[in-house]
Amino acid sequence: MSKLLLLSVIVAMVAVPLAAARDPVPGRGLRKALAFTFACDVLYLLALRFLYPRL
Amino acid sequence: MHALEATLGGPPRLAGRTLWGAALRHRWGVLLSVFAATVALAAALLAALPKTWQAEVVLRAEAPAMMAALGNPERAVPFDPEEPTRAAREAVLARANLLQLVKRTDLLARWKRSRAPLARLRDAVAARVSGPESEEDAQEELVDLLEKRLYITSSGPTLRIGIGWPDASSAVDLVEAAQAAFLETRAARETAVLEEAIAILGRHADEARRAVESAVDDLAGLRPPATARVRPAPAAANSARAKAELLLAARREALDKLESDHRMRVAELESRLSELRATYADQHPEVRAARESLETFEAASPELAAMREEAAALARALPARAGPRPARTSGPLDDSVERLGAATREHAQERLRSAIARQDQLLGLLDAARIELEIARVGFKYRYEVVRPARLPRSPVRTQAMFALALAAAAGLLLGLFAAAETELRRGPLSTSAHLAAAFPLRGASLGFLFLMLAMPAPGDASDRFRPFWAPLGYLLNFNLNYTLPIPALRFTGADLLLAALLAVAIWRSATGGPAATAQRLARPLLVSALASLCALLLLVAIGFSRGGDGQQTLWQCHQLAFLPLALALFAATLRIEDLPALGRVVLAAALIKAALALWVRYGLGFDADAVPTATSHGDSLLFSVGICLLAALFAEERSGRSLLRALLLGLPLLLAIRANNRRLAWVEVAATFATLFLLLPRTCLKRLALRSALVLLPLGALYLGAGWSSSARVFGPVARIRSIVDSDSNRSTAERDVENYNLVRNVRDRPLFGMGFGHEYTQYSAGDDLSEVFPQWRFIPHNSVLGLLAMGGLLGFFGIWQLLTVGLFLAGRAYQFARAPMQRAAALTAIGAVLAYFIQCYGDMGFVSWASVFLLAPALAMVGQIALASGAWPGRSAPR
Repeated sequence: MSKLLLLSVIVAMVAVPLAAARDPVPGRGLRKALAFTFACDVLYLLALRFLYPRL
Repeated sequence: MHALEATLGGPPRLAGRTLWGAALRHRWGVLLSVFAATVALAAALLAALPKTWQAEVVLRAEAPAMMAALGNPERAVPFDPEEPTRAAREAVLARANLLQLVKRTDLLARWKRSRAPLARLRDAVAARVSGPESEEDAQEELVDLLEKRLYITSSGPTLRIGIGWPDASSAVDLVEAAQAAFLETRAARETAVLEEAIAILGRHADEARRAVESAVDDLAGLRPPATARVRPAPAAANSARAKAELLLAARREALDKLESDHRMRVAELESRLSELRATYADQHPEVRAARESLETFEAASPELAAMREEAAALARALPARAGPRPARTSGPLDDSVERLGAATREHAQERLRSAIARQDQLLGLLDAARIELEIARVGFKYRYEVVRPARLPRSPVRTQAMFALALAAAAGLLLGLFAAAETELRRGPLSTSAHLAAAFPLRGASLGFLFLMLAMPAPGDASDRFRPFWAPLGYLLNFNLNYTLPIPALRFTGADLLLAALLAVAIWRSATGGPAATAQRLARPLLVSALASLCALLLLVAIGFSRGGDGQQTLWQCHQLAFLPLALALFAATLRIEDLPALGRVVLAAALIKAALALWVRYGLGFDADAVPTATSHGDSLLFSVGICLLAALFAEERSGRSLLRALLLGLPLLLAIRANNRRLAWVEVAATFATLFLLLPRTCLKRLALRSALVLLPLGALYLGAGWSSSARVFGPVARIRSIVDSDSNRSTAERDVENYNLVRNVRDRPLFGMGFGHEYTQYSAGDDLSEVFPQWRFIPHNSVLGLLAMGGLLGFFGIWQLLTVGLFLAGRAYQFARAPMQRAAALTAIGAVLAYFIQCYGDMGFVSWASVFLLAPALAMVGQIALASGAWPGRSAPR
């Protein structure tokens, strides 16, 4: 489980921009890609801080 | 450019050809002069620059078990074949040892005498500017230089100590002194433990002797045996005599022991002396030392003399027996007293026996330890055999000089060509140097650069067991130039030089009105994000320095990371969408060359995984998997028999190369990119069929995985490979990665926002294997580059540097949706696969310090940036967003 948690950032960094690329408006899609990737990075950091030690 | 076209009446490429042809025809004198001047200058520089003389000694360590076992047959002597050469590097390169080397070889004086002309000039200028250097400073500098130049490598029981030095005789002396220092350190280390043990045993033996004496005193103080009860008056005299007798016996026993030890030690020294005499002359320092120690030992032993005197005094002072033998008396009270006395005496005797047994045991151990020490000393000279002694080199390292001359010749030819063209432009009908920039084959040079960076080997490839003849070219590009060329100041790679030169030409061309500017052909977000990535990197460097980061390690850590946006700018400026087929051919050709090398090393030369863990390099996992991804994407988009045949014919050697290269991660990269590509492909009949087949095969796959999870059968080989990646218990390497991941996560938690910056090693909270012997920078460049970058950059640095890949993936995704040409769609898919494979490579195998990653990602991103703009996936400047 801890391995999956550590790996999750790669999945997020690939899946989020590819999903955002489907937005019909390119600029909005790019902003989404960057914002959601950053949000995923924040979540990942929080997971490393609080979740990883318990796994 | 338009002016050139107007003048020559043709397209730019024709203009270039005309220009070069005219220059060759009319200005060949200029070309030859520049060529000759360049080569002559290089030859003069090579003569004036310091030369490098290489000296090396090869030692082989033998198993010490035989002699140690003879010395003490009861002790088990484990033998680790690498133990005798372990920590050799640390032993030789210890600061105090290097200082000793400098003094022992009189290096300072010899260094000043043997300076090359240019180096002398530099010294003189430095002395004028900052005053003469003190002797201590000069010594410290030499110590630093020795630390860099001395190399100590061990492979099993074989140890190599060598140096490249500007003076041949000093090189030999230094290597010999380093060898002697290593042997002295080892000898001291091996005997120090025994000497300590002997000292401890000696102390315990003394305690045991005192215990025996105390027991003797106690026994002597007791009354005589019950069968010989004495009258009160003579009892005291008899007791004193008995005590004296026992004391005398104990002294004599100790004396015998000492004399026996002394005789044994004398015999050992005589044996050593005779051995030394068999090897050396009588005046040899070792023979003289052994003889002196023997004489000293034979001459007198104060302890022995004191013991003898003490024993003689005790014998003389032995009191005469007091009175006649006592008459036996009887009575019930007397019987009780006698029984009590007998019990006390028995107890005292038991104590004495126990004390004597302990003393015997300790003396036995002491004897064994002394013998082992002696054997260790004698056996040490057989421990290390000099397989190849240091010899005075006959010539400096010439191959590098020849290589430098060849490079100078090539550079001279190029410069001559440019000078000829420039002269033609100045004196001919054309009048602007812009034409020269326009005529430069920038596209071909960029593709050539890309090919060389992907196909050429780097130092350490195939564990340096096999070097193809073109390896020096790869070393020039991949490693600092002073590794190959005899100029220490060249502390940058050939790739740095080429990138800077090509970027300069591209900027020059753009500034002088060349082809359409990069900004007009590339999706703007990619340029902005490349710049932002570079800024984030510089910020992390600054943070690292502000916290006392190491400059050299900073360069190691962020060299490739900084290279990526710059290389992206170069490929964006020099390649067009029309170059996609050429780009694909370059990548595939490089991958196939590396695949051929891997297959040759593994199956042609027969190196197994123990001898050569990776047939080429770790970074080539990415090259092979991206090559396979490219072939699969081309087939998926073209869907022709030709593309299928190409995928099968070229994909097979790449798959075999992955197997030969022995990196598990490459299989993960191939599987992950295939899965992603499959998900991205439009829903066709083929995809539906593949999906249904996968659903049917899924339970079978799960069954196969479950059945083979704990099996070592050959048929379950793939399951074992999967298990070795995910299960820490199955593989030491995987377990070590878990420890590293844990440590990195702890470091991330310490500084979550900005990280520790570059130039720092991560803190170890949980101790894993120490890899410094094989990879000194293991804590600066962790295997898991994803967590490593997060620990170094924190959240902001991590996102700041890698948002470039987020933007690249976004544009690739859009380009794939909008592009119609199969080649462009395949390029977009390959770019997605390359970024995904890069992330996986970073997660498992130090991807961010790999050149392959830079030179696969940079052209891929440059291409998707252009395809996105050309296909309308990203609007141009005038279009609404």
